[in-house]
Amino acid sequence: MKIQTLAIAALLATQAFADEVAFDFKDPKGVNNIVFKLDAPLESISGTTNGISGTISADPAEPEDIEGKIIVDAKTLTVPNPMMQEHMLGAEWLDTAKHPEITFEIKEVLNSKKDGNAGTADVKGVFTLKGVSKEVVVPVKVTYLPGRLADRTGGKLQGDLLVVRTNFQINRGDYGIKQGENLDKVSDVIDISLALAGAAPKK
Amino acid sequence: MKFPFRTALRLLALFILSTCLSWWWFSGADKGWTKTYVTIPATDEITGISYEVKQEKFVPGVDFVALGTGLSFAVFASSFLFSKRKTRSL
Repeated sequence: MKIQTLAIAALLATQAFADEVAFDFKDPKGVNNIVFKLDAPLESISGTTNGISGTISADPAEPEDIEGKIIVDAKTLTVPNPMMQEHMLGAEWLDTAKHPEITFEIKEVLNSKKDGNAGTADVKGVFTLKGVSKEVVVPVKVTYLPGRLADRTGGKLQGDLLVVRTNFQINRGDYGIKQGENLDKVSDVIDISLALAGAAPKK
Repeated sequence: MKFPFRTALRLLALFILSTCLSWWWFSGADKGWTKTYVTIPATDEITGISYEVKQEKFVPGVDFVALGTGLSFAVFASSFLFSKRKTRSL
């Protein structure tokens, strides 16, 4: 009887995870991007990065059932002015030599709404910048594109795509980046926009 | 025609200033910092993601103008170190 119960439990567990798909956000095409903007009274700074990786496991049928982590290589953050870039990555600002990664780890999905293959939700997660981790809630729009990986790879790979978009703000001072300093030229508020597509090739 | 060194330095200062200003002006008179790349907007057809394609291009900014103006004034100021050509009295 006990063996039967265990077998049923194992079967149910297998079924529960059967539909979960792992999407890899490493994008060799360089389309996945994060844009950051700082609008200070004297200066407006805008930069981007394509150095994004990470995995999100999601069940397209259950939007609340999502977990994973997005990782940004901090050294890939770029601004158009080379001197500004050197300062930004240097020890006084982001200190990328000591803190080479910026991460966002999903903890919980709240208020999810599904509309066909698209959905919105508030994602609670831990955002880590310059070694400081803080819990944030970001509004996320997700679009599931079943079978569209082949279109993107010219038929080389079959599988699904998951497009994730979000806009949120952080305060650099909260992450130990020159708190209260240079506010006239470098805004404390950083607007962050992410647009990422993850691929889940079918094995 | 032979210029005295003092005049040559002043002409050089004028050349630096005019080159710097006209380069900045004809590159779009960007009021931001000098850029070493520009971005061209693009959209991925499959995912609909908007992204920017980087294109290497030198776009002079206000720091370039300031540097050129400073250099021009330095060259102009140095011209005062050289005396005027002495005129022979009859």
